[in-house]
Amino acid sequence: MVANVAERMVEALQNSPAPFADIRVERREITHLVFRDGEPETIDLRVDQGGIVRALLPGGSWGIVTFTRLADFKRRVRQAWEAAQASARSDEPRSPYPGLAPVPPVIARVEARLEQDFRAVSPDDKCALAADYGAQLMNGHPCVRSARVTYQDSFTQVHYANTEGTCLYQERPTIDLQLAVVARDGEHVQQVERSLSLAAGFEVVQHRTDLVQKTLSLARALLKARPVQGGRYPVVMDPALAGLFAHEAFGHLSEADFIMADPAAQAMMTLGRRFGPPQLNIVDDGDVPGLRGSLAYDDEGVPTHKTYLIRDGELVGRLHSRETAAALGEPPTGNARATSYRHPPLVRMTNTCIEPGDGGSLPDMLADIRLGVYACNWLGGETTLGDFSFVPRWAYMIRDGQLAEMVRDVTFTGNVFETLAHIDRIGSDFAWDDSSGDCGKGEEGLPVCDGGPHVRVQDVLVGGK
Amino acid sequence: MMTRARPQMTSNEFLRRAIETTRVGFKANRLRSVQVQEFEAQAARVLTGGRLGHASTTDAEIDRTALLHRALWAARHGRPVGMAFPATRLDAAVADPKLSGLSSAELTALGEEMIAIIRQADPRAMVELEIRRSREHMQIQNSEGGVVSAPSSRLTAEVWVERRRGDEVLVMFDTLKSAQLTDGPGSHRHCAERIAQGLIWAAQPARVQAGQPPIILSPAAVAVLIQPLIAALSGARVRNGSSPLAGKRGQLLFDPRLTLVDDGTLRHRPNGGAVDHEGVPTQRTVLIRNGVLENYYYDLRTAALSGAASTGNGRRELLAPPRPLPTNVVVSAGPTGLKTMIASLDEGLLVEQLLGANPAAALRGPFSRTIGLGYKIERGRVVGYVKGAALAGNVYDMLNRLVAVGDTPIWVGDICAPYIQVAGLNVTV
Repeated sequence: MVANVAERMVEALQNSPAPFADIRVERREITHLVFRDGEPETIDLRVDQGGIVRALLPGGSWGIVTFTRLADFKRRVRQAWEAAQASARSDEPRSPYPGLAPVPPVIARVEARLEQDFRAVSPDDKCALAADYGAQLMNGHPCVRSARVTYQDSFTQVHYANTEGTCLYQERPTIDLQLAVVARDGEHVQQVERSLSLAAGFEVVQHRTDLVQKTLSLARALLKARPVQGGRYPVVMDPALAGLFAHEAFGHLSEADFIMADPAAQAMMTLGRRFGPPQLNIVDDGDVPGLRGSLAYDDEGVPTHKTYLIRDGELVGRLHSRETAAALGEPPTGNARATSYRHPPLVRMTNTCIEPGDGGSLPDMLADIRLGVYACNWLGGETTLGDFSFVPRWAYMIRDGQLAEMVRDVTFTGNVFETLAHIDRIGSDFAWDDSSGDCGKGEEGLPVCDGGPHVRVQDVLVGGK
Repeated sequence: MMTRARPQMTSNEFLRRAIETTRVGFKANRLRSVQVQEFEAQAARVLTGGRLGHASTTDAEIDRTALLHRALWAARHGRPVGMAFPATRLDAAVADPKLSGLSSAELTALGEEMIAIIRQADPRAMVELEIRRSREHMQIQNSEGGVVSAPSSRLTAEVWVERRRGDEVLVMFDTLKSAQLTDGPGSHRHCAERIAQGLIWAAQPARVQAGQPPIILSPAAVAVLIQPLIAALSGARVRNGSSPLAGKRGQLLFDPRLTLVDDGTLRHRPNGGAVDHEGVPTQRTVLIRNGVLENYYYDLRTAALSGAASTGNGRRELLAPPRPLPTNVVVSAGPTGLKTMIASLDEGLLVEQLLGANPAAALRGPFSRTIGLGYKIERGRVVGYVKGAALAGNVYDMLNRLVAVGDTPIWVGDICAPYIQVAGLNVTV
């Protein structure tokens, strides 16, 4: 990055016309490789660098400027203040604006510690790795028609400073490996992907024949699967899907920006309200080493930590930025995250999970189900604050207490409140899901992580034929 | 500009993109933020011995030579492809200078007008809205003599309306995109009026039963459901075997009333222009004509690998290399008015909005989505709203069983579609 960034940022803020302003400068170096059928399809190197200044006026109006040229920060600070003035409408009644929740200024430097830093791995070795996995997939089984291997590493350097004296430097690495095959059996074709994404070094993508085998065996199994019959079923979710459920169905409702200016929404999400059984605990924790959603400080300089959203079945907390924390009179939680310098931070999750309970193991949960669905992992999910929809990656029917045939084209649809109230078993196991997949809220995706135990829910609406 | 070929290079291309965006954001019906974005990026591609490499950056300190060397490294690992950069020479003008010049105050006024229209229909509505105006200048130079200067501008409005009654939340959303200021259909006013009409229809909840009722899909629902079909028409997916439409050109695969066109030439659309992001002239490509699969869409590289010609669909997302992407997709209209469709149903469902992921598996056709918002029709009238039910089917079967095609297509993002009545979809509650 250009020299003296931190000093120049601090200097530019010293004469900020706006009472509060902050600057974040990021430099992200990305190596992105896509190998198709063992041969290189995309070889792409990117350096994405830029900055963002936010200015806040006492009435609650924000002005934001983003830029790619890292010069003349003082001009940018002034430009953000002018934008804030443009957004302050003098003809609107001035209700008192609580400002930002106070946090102590922080001066810190957080460097990444990677076992095998991927920046030191030669591009030739990265290509060889991708080519080799591609060959393993293509030769893995006769049903494989096409294989795609995506390798991506990304190293982000983030500088943050504000008018309160915070000055931070953080390094955020991520590494991704995605294996996908198109498999065919006569007329029947399935496309399957398994992946891995961690805040870690090159060591985690080497010797991953386990991921190759998971991809191949899922492809072979899905080729034989029949479409699920739509209807209402008891559903057991595996840890990855339980984590996605916590994220999609409940996590987004906990992001305080949606209720900040809406009294009816605040009434819906009243602290102390019962949402699920007493064994249910849902947390968001930005402080778990190595997970893709982890970070030391959020993008406002607030330290991350573990926040209980639901404890013993009751709503006890929310996720906040400094602004939403002040608006609701609650402590900040370190959940203000931005996707890149092109956007200001919004209230976002980090690593979200259901904590293990006393519900036993998977066989314990299957035992008393006459007809149900065991659903695993996820392809995607969407929520509109109350209603949610998500798609497991694979699923089995449960018949008479046992796992039966694999089914496909499964979607779960529901209302958050009804579904949480229908959780009747929370398993004693636990796993974080280490697959790829960003959280979308706005234009660009943000790395997050989800996890949980096996969870059983009664009476879930399964869409299908 | 690199005009001389060096011994180890066959050809090269530089792209520069400068984008300036002004956005105004409203939350809970009030103006909350003004944001200005300035973005400049450069990208280089090198073709050496037929091998293609790409490098891009926003770092202005990385000069062209350095970028070229990165692209050259990437090209060493590339796969030989018989493509060539086009020798297009173009000095284009912006479609609507008035749109280019919209200030934050003017954008704010547009937003306030939309919010007023929506809240007049339902004062309980809480509107979150972002309106942004972007000005972009794309410049391409390549060693084949191609020189392109293509300025463009676009207006985008993303509206999110919530209406709460206790725990019951009704959500409506819409995205307006335009490259031309207009007063009629396609305007910000029209977008707000459609949401307002929806809120009026949604005054009362209604019940829907499981089964296979007659379904009218709104343009927004059609746009969502045909996304796997549009993805399957990409030359890249045809080539890699994931598209179910591979090898089926010339076959009658859909209802003869279905014609689907990708048109990159539409100047009033944000994705329209004279050239694509590789400098290839855009064109109007008929993908499906009267139910018959006619064409796929390509960028330069995929076309070369497929023995075809680029259809002008080489597009880049920010810093990414080009790949085949649709521009403006138009589903042809039919003869039937929406009022006529509704009046003809003794019992049915008008599906306005669908939620749900769109995983790769959907490429083969099966879908299952949550109805985010629908309207129950009884005895020829809308009687109330429904939400939360699941809608399932197969998009290829569905497009073979069209009951009626609407006469007034509406742009939803970059897809233009009419209301379509279909049969054979399952509703589960």
